[in-house]
Amino acid sequence: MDPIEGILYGLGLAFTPELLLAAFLGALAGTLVGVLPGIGPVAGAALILPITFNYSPAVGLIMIAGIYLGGQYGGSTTSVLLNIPGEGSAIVATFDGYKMTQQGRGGAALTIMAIGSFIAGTIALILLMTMAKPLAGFALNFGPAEYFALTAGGLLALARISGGSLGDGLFPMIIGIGLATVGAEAATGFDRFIFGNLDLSLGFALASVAVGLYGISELMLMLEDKDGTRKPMHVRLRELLPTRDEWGRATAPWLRGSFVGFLFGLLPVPSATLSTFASYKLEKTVSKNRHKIGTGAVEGIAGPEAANNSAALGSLVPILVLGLPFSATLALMLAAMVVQGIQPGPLLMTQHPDIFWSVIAAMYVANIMLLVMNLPLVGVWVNVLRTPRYMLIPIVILVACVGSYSLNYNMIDIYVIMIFGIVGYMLRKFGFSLASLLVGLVLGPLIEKYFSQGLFISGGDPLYFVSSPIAAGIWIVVFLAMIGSGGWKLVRRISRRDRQSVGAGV
Amino acid sequence: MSVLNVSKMDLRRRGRLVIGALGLLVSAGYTWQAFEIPVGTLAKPGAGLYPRGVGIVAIVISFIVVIEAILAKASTDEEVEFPRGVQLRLVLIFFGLSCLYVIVLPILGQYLAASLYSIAMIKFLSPHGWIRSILYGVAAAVTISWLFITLLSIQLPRGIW
Repeated sequence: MDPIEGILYGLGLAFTPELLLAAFLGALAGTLVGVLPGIGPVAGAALILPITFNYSPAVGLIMIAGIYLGGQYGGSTTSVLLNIPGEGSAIVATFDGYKMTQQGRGGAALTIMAIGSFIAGTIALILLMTMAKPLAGFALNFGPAEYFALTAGGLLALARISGGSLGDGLFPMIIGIGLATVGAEAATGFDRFIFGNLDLSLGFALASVAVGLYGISELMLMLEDKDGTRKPMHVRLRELLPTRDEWGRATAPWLRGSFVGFLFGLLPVPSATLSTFASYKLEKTVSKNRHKIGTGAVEGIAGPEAANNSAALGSLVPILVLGLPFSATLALMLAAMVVQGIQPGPLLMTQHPDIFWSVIAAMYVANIMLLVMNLPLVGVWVNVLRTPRYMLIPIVILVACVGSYSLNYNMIDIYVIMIFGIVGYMLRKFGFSLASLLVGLVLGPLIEKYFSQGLFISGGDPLYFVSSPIAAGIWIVVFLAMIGSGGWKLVRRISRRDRQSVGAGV
Repeated sequence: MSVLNVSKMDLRRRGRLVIGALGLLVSAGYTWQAFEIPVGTLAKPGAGLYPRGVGIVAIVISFIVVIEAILAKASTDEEVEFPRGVQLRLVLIFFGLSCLYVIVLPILGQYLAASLYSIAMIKFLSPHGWIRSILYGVAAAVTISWLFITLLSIQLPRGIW
């Protein structure tokens, strides 16, 4: 099946009433969790994940895709309307988006973001169609050594890049890897670290850990916020249309952002967040109206929002072709795929092209659904933002507990939410990165699997893991990324200190 | 050595020192447990080989966190603030009530436990009186429970109700 046949096949499957409804519900739920403070896309996806298990694979995947993309759009909506970013990838939208709202152009900002996301999604789809087959072909050469390098090395790089100091990312990462060893070992079935509690034989459920780490801790942080009564400005439907000048100024940033975002999506980094900052920086450097960026300029939201969405589709490449998720939400997507019987990897494209292209088509349909749905519903999101905390918090907790219980019908998953709520709260307070923990939990079993396979194949020779040029090359890149990340942070700290010295007149 | 004077460290460094020390303890315990698991051989690894490696790496990383806490300079950009006064009370009430809900859930059942939890949360977090809290709380809890149990056919703890 060639890429064009594949995408047409996938779209044909996706455009059925059942799947369109699933896309609508997923996008709606995703935007809702992105808009509502105290949950966020990761916890929201984790809450809804168990519900998707009751449906067919296509329905489940399209819902998760809708939640993923909707969550990002919802997070950006609060950035624009309230100056409160829903998650990391929505921070940049506060720089110019909220300023536009203050200037009475909030509706236009939301429209530009929605349309930019759709255009970026289309461009990313074309790029994905071009790159997926050659990359899958290349990945067929991968053995345990290469996969071990990708999983362990990629996780190390992610942990280093997403944290500030060395400990910020590595400490949560190793917690995640350690948690992944709890339960029955895959090859021998030996129960590890269960301390006589058979409920732990299944290990820690990813969704429960995610809800606790992100959801419960976020609610606790929300309750700390004295200024919890910020209300959004009204946005009227007729204010949604950008002016001709705004349309013109948004076009080039949309295109630039799409390419930047897709490239970041391919890398083992928090691509959604980093791509928005990279795109913003690019606009500040090359845009015709760069002097206006930061004061409510269209370029300041058009490029980053396109980058954000393009990164989401770009990150499908490592997850589908290699089975490697490099963000917390993608880790949940991978879990959803595996539960639905879809095993991502290079053989997926050749042996199950129908599933491969269905997943990609699902993301694109969710993209379309967001465009169709979100602009008319702006008023609804504004009202949702007015939900009082005293109603929001118990509803979130009840849904969280029910969702987690439904995973294995075991109370232990509910206890896990509470325990990781405290863990997440403390880690966030002291500056540790939560994403590394979650990705470590997902990648941990894969790292062990490839490690064991490698030792088995090589007869116990540890040098096997760097014996192939690809594996050695990956480790060199990881090493450079880790050194480079530390060096870059040092340079920024020095330049910040220099600016403070200059400012103090020293 | 003044660098080890814990009382002079800011809250962030002290907290990270404690977290690192806890990490060291837990990693040491984890590694010790890992040595109880059959290790196999390098050519045929057993269930214990990988956790031993993870444990040792965890000890090293925990040590790094401790060292970073000791050697880091205090920075006003990264101060840690814990809630005080009303905010602390709200956070403690939220966490306490949520833990209580989780404990009584298998005893009382979903409908009853969720209703009591919602009523208590709304009463403590809002300016409403008991009657409104009971009305809103029961409505929210019963609706959500009904949605999952009846509409989505997801079994929940039964208990009394």
